[in-house]
Amino acid sequence: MTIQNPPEIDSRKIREILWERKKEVVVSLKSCAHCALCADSCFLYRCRKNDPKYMPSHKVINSIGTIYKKKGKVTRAELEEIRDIVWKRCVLCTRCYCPLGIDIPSLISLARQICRSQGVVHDFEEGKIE
Amino acid sequence: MRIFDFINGPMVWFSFICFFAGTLYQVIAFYSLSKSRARHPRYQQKTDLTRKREPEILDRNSLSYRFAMFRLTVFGRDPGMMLTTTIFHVTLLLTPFIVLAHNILLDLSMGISFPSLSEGATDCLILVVLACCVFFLARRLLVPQVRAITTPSDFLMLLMVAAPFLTGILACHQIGNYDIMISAHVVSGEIMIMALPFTRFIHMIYFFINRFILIHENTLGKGGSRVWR
Repeated sequence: MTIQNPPEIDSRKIREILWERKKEVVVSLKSCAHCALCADSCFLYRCRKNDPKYMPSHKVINSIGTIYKKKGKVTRAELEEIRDIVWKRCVLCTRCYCPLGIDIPSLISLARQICRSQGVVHDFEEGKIE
Repeated sequence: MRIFDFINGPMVWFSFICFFAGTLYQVIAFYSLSKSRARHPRYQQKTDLTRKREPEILDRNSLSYRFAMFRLTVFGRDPGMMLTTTIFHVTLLLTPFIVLAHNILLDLSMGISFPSLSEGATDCLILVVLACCVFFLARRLLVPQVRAITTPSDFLMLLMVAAPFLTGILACHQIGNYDIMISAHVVSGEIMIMALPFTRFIHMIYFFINRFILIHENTLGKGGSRVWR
């Protein structure tokens, strides 16, 4: 049996998706005052004993923020890390609240779209008991 | 031309042009990259007199319901931070306009002036701004949630805000070398004004766009009228 290597990350495609909504992403990332006032609005954050990793701002900065900072030139390992942030740490319930009015769910869904475009998706079968 | 004449003359005009042009650019960019969309109608409770009256806690117009909802807002969850940030932003925007020395300079150069407060009162306002900056710095360093998303640029932002106020009060009371203090005050103020539409301070413009014009879950006012793309 041969193990197939995963295809290379197409940074051009990522840039294409990102550039379509560039201004929205730039403005949202710049508008963020890093105040952490959004933290309490996330039920996962509160369920996970106030772990900062579950704060909506932390999720945005480390997913779409990382992709934008690297201009789409992310490695598969980095994209897999982002996948875990946008799928495992966020359920897109759209209840997060930013006092400055940043549309956090929209940015998380953009990060999911980028991951999906590279075939890096959440394994819904993970941990399933046979 | 001496450097002092330059920072007090052409540099002031340049920084204000930068600020107004940058703000205009951001607003035009937003309108050209967004499109108009009809907002969803907001939920409104209808008063039906024939129906049995709901318990007071479920009545959306009752004071206890409103108070319970207020406790869930960001003001209710973190009152200390929200009170500090409100006071900070109001004093930050207000103080430069009501400082007596600024108004005398405006009057001498352009013949216009704003109402000004006494020196003692403005000193108090400046100290309030600086105290708020110290609070934000302490919060950045001590609260784990804030520390987790803090970058060096956040400290730079705080420094850029605090510097004009600190050097201003030191120059006003002639503490340290007056010439150096007043030059530092003018330069730091100009840097802050120039940086406003292009750096993290952009939230000053986009706060109003994000909260009142863009349609999303948390739009205030009438529910917004535009969406990105």
